[in-house]
Amino acid sequence: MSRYQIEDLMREYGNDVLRTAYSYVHDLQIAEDLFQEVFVKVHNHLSGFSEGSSIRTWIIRITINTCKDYLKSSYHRKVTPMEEIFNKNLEGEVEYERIENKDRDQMVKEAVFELPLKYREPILCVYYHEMKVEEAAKVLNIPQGTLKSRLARARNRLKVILERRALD
Amino acid sequence: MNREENLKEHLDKAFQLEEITVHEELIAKTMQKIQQADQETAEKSSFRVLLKWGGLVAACIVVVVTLVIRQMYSREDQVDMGKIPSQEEEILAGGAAENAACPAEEESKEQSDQGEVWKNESYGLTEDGMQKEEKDRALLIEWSYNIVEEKQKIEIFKEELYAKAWVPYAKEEIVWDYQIAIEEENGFITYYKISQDSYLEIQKQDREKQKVQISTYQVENIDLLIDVIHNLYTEG
Repeated sequence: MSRYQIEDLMREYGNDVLRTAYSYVHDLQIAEDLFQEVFVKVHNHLSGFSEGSSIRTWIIRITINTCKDYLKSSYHRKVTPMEEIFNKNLEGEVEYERIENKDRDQMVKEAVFELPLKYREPILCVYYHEMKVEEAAKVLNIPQGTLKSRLARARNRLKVILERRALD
Repeated sequence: MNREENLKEHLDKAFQLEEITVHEELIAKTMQKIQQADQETAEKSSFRVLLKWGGLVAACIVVVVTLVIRQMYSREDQVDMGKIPSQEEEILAGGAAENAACPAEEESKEQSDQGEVWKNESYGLTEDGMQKEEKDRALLIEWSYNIVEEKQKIEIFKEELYAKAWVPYAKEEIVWDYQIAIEEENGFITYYKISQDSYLEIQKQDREKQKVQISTYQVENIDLLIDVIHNLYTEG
């Protein structure tokens, strides 16, 4: 794998990786660290990648696994991202003003991020990464039936959250 | 949800707005990290190679040392079992009667002669096309067999020596304590006279009781003396 090939992959799928990582950790700095980790793994294991499957799906799968490993790690449990503290401080007195200033895209993103991880993952895979149900189930390592039911529940929850936010 | 189809668009815009986008600096940092990882992998790989070869060399040394030790113990065992001669036995076996006074020299010569034979046959195939190793083994078996046979003769002879009465005998210069007479196939009789201070005199006589040969030796101990007699006896 040459330097240029891995760089091309970073340019082509980098945003997907970075945003997926961000959707897990909610911290840009950590998401960037995970981005680096993901592409080191991609570089090291690219020779074992089978040409038959989609390289994008493969990279997203590595990203999701890396993020899950990070969330499970003791480092994450000890370190609380600064953004999280910042957001918590914002809640309450300035909450109304902040929501007011958000545009629709922000609102949708926050609504998605408000979902529990098990509902957020199918939404991101299917609607954001535009994977097929079969593909997303493989990436998330869950049966297709489970994925479909989670997807349905996630849509309902998202609807409720967005309606609530719209009313606000 | 009616917005499903627009979800990607909304999220993309939201991410862009928050600048959650790959930038050149991040790519450069990642490339640097990949290079570091490559270097580490190369170092680990060379260390593994070193470890592998080191292990291989260590294993070879262990095998060689084990073989040498086994060889040594095997030789000692064979000496104990009488399959091959001990150094002491070799000295005696190699020392002809007339050279008994200086057995070491004779033993050295015989050993070197024998070594020559083995050396000459230690390369490649023999004329018969037989592997050198097989030939060596065959020779060794034959040699061992002879040694065993010789050893048995010694044992029998020792028994005879002790079983037959040791006749006290006296002479002017040396006080002979024991005498034994052995009749040989050619009709000669050999007298072995042994003193307690390890002197040995051998007399060979014909039927008419005429002495044809007298030799006197001094040996280190009585067991050696018996073995010397044995050698003379078997050569006789």
